[in-house]
Amino acid sequence: MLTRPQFDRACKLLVQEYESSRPSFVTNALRGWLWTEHPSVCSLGYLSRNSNYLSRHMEPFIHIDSNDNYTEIDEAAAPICIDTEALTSQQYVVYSATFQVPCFYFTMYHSNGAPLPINELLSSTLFRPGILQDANTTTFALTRRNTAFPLLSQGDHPTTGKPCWFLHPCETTIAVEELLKEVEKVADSEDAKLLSWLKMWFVVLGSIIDLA
Amino acid sequence: MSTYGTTRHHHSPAANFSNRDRATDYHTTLFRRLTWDGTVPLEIRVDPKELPANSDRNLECYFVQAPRVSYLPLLMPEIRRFFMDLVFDETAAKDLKDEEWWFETAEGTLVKWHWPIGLIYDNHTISASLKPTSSRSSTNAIPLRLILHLASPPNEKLLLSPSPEACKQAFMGQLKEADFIRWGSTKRMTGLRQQDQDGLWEGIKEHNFDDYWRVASKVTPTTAPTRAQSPVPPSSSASMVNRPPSADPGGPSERDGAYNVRSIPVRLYVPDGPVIQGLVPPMIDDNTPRTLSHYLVDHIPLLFPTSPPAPPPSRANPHPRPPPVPRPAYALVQGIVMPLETEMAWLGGCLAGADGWVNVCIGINH
Repeated sequence: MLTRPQFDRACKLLVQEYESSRPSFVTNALRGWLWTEHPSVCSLGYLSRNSNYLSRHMEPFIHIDSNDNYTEIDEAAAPICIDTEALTSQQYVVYSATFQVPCFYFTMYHSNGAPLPINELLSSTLFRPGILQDANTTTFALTRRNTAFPLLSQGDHPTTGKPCWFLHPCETTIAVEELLKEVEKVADSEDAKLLSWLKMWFVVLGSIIDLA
Repeated sequence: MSTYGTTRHHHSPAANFSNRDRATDYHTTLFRRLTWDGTVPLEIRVDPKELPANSDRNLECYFVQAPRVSYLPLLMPEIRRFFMDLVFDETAAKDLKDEEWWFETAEGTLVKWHWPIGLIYDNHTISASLKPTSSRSSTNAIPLRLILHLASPPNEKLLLSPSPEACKQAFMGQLKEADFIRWGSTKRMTGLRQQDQDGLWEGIKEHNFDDYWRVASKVTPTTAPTRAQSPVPPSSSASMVNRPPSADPGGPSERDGAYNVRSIPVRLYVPDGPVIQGLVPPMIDDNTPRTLSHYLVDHIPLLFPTSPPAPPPSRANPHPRPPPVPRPAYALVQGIVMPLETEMAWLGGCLAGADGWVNVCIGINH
């Protein structure tokens, strides 16, 4: 868990560390973020950036049967798709006031400006393969079996109020803190610990979303 | 309605425990009932440019007194019936797809269908009161005028598909978040049987207080004798404390009281501003409950300035009072201006919406 001031501090440290770094596979997830604050209310700051992805059109990645059930086709068995379309995504890392952790919000559009429906989102290169495993999908959410909240659903961006898709943050703390146990040194400064926490959060996010 | 100041209960703990097998105390139930029964006037008309040919223009407006705790997607069936049966010409209207219908206020702002109707109304009333052309209205409630569009929803600005299913999921999500905020986990909500969880939404759909609260009372904190320093309950009730809430037919134990939560689920709506949400522990310290005044001074001090201290005593004025502070703003909860000494925990137990959240809307005094 992070308090809001800790989240703010960690984000600013991240932007600072990577703003002049050269692109590399390892650090792409952490680069290109901009810190923005609400014009009149303090403590509503967030990270944002734009990214490009591709759709996976042909050779359906996702199969929809006559009962509107979505299942994923094994990538190894599917022919490589050739015809892809460029998609733009606005990505945000905001602070979840309820769960007191960072939370990933995003939008995704076709090049003509039309927003993507959920099945196209899930088949784009934004999501790692395996996203549909054990999950039930509707037009407005994707929910993993036996979980309290949908993994992917819609909500208003907490600062701008814009409707976005977001990944539910409730399981994040456990995953991040497990990973941190492996790496954290007691002697680290407060700033180092905060930056470490946020980077680890990006690692956990990276298992679902391709942030490169 | 001038009696909100009462937040203490003078029942003796022993008497309350003996009455408590099924009943939440009278005071809490009264306010929950008043909240549930609250309604707001809506006036819905179709965008005149979109009226199908041959519509009956004399009937172009649908008036409804809508429950504050309900949601626009739940009103859609009756709205659709009115327009399709009475207003639209059958042939002209046969190609309309109601999943493309969407609402805008008369002033042109998009309506957030996932907000409870009472919240939409209060926010709108406050916004309207701030416009230079508005007059200080009488006590009559002004209807919220909505324009119903029949096609081309602006998908980039609106959440997709305001279907009842999406609305239900959003509602259940809010209840679970409220649970998490209070206790640090969602196990009270997720511990309910699926049938009970669905029963909460059914209670909203059917607008049935008893059906809704039959389940909600298992997870919503009460303000019955549950102050942090209350005496220990008699031993006959001690066994209740260890049972999981859903197995306990008597409702939440003392440990689950409104003053023992970690934080109260509350959001602050500033006119034309963002929604503010922060941690709101029920007590300032061991003996002082957090009031609305504490909360507002913390979050929006410019609108709710603290009183400066009283001047030192002097011979001319041996018992000085602090100078009066101008009050630029007021706080509305469930449409009612709240006294600033109202305790936040009490609001959480008695005046929350059906989704578990206390919504505080800030208005500006003229």
